[in-house]
Order: sequence, then C-alpha cells, then structure tokens
Amino acid sequence: MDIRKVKKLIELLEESNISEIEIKEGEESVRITRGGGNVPPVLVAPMAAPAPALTSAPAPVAPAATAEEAPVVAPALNGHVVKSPMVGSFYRSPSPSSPALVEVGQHVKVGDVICIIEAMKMMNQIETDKAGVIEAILVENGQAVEFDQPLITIV
Amino acid sequence: MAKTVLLPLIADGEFHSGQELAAVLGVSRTAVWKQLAKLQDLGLEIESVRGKGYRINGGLELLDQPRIEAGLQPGVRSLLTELVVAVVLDSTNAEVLRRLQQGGGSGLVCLAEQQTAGRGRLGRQWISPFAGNIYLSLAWEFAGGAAALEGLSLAVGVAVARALQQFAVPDIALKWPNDILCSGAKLGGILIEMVGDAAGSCQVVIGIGLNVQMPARAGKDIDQRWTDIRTALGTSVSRNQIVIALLDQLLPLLGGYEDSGFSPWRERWLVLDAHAGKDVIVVSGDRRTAGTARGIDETGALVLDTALGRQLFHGGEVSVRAVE
Repeated sequence: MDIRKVKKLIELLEESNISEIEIKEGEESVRITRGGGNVPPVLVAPMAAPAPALTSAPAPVAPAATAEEAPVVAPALNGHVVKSPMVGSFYRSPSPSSPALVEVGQHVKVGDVICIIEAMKMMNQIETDKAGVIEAILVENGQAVEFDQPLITIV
Repeated sequence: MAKTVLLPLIADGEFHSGQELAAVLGVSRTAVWKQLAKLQDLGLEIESVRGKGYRINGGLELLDQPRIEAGLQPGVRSLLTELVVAVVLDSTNAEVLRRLQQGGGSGLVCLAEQQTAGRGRLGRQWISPFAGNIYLSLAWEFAGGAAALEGLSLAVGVAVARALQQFAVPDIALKWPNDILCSGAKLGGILIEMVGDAAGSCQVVIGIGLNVQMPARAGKDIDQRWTDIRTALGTSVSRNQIVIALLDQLLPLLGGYEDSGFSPWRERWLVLDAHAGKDVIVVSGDRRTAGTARGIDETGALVLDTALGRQLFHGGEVSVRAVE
C-alpha cells in the first residue's frame, strides 16, 4: 500500500470524528485507530493470507490539511450522525441480493430504515431520527461496529 | 379452497368419496378432483381407492388455534394476547411486523402451515412446505432498547431446546448463536428482527422454524445437513403439542427478560454448546478467523482462542474446522 495513501487516511481520520478506519486492497489491509493510550495506532494484519510486504505506517500526526488537500471522497462531515446502538455487524441491505437501503445523496424521512445492525442473529433495523439527505456512509457493508460508532451522517 | 375447506375434511385419515366431498363443498366431482390435485402439488400424499374414495393415509394434523390456547399453562396463557393461525403466509415474521404497525404488541403470536417466502438470516430462504413443520413468530415490546436485549438471541435458543427436550428429542445442541442442532444436523433456526427506537421502546419479532416432518421433496432444496423431529424420534409428534411447549417456554422468557437479563440463561446455554473446545472457523463479513471455541461471555459473545490471543465475536457464522 502506498505510504501517501496511508498518510491521507490518517488525515481523513483526524478530520472526522471516526475513531477507527480499516481499508482493504486485495490481500493488504490497514487499520488505523485514533487516540493514544495503549492502543497500537496502526495494525496491519491480513488473516489467512500470505503476508505481503508490510507497510509501516506512521502514527497519527496532527492534521495539516488545507482546503486544497481535502479529499473529494470524504468531505468534512457536518451532518447529523446516526450511531450504532449495539455491537454487531453493519449491513446496508437486508440481503446480499437486494439493493442498499440508502445511498449517499438520497432523501430520507424520519422513521426510514437506513441500515441493519446484526448482533448474534438479531437483525436490528436502524431508523433515522432525522429527515434530510444522506451525506456519508461511514462503514463498509459487513464490517464489525462498536457501540456508539458513527454509521451514517444526514444533512 | 383446497387448503382451507377440502383439506380439513380429509385430514381425518378416513376415506371420503368424491360424491360426498362434492356435496359438502357444493361443487362438481371434477372440481373436487382438481382441488385434490392441488393438495398433491403441495407434497401431500392423497390415496385414491376405487369404490372408497380419497384419504390421507394416517391422517394429517393441522394447526389448531383453540387447542393450542387451551393447552398452554395457566400462567402462560395470560401472556398470549393474540394467536393467529394462517394457512399460507409470505413469512410469519413479515406478518407479525405488519401487525405491529397496526397496533399489535407483546404476546402476539403467528403460525402458518406454509410460508411462500420463509426467510433466514440475510435474506436466505427458509424451506417451508405445507403442514409438515412449524413456522412460528412472536412479538414482544421492550422499554429498555437494544441494551436490554443483550443475549436474548441465545436465550431464545435455550428456550426452544428445552421445549424439544420435553419430547425426548435426543442429542439437542446449540450452534452459536442459536441454531438448533440434533446429532449435529440442523433441526431448526431462529431469526430475530427488531424495529422501533433502539435506544428506547422497541419491538422484537422472534421467528422460529422447526423441521418436524419435512417432506422428502422439499428437503432436497436444503443446502446443509438437516434432520427433522420425526427422524430423530422415529415417531410422529403432534405439531400442536410442540407449539404449546414452545410457547410455554418462550412467553415467560420474554415476559421476564428485562428483569432477568442474560445471566440465568448463560449457564443453560453453555450446557447445550455444540462447539465447546472444538476447533472452528468464524466467518464474519469477508474475514475468516480460526481458533478454538471457548463458550460465551456474559453478554453472549462467542469466545475464541486464536493464534493472536483471545477474541470475542458478536456476529458471524461458526463452522467446525475440517481435520487436515
């Protein structure tokens, strides 16, 4: 993985209120966790795959992002944040064959189901408590999420 | 008409002549014959003997709402607010979700003889042929939101296992979080759906599918090792009696769960754990983790000892690792 990409990821993380981000590219994956403490800032751990050359990524650095550098893919998030009510897995649709419940840019009204969190085969339909437009979807389909982790923002 | 009018007439196992059936139904004998053909298409074996008529050899027990209600333990009956017995539904969970929107609440139970869109986890199909198995959904409301429901999914598995043990179904075990296994083959599954405010008042719909007497033709469509109660016991059991046993377990569990929480159910789950100490693989999203299963923690999360240390899982599919 390109070191510049990793740096960009760290900047992204610093700008958002996300505490952790994990990106996969083929066999490689990089997970960056925000904040100090005992948590290792960077974990590169491809499971059950031949270990690729590991990229050593720098620890999170203070962001020096200027307006020009702000990446298009993740604009600064100002919207209302829908958080996960439980530990579980995040799904964007009720089944792999059905379309995503919402896409970025889509209008939603209060009570619309916008994603599903599964915890131990309990499928929790997450409804939005704010009407508006989906600004960003912060989690990948199938990804594990923590309690209170931001999932989707709405403006 | 075939399923709602004709079938109850011939479900008694006795011979009924075409003439008799035509008279009762007020249709021609040809129409009766067509209706019988429809029932055969559902997988029912209808015997036809010249001079005697038609019968279902051995009879067929249909789900019986008054009988189920009358059979419940007195304390349990007060927890049941409505029992819906349908002939055909898309899915009993879907029906309960619809009824919740129309004002249904705790203690609403729905059964169907057949599901046309029975569903499992993540949109998977649940094979649901007519009048052979149990498809049961029930609703309960919780004031404390998702936090109060920790471990509920596993507790429901324990309740179903205990109901089956009353019929002496041998070798019942639970595959985390709550698949019902009998001698290692799948006997039943549970799908729980939750709607409402995950931080406050929410409704939970618990769907249970149990293989009781799976017609061989329908069983061919199941993509994993399965069994049914008739095979496990070597004899037939009344579906109505099984439904009564399930509700006798499930309704008190739900009624008391916000007070009891998961802790009294954890020990009971561990006794039924199909994979304790076994080498397993947990597939979660596109991540596969190998390790040794070490039961569950106090929240119901699966505990796995891996090469990288102990890990907890709140989601994913567990399978036994093949011996290499």
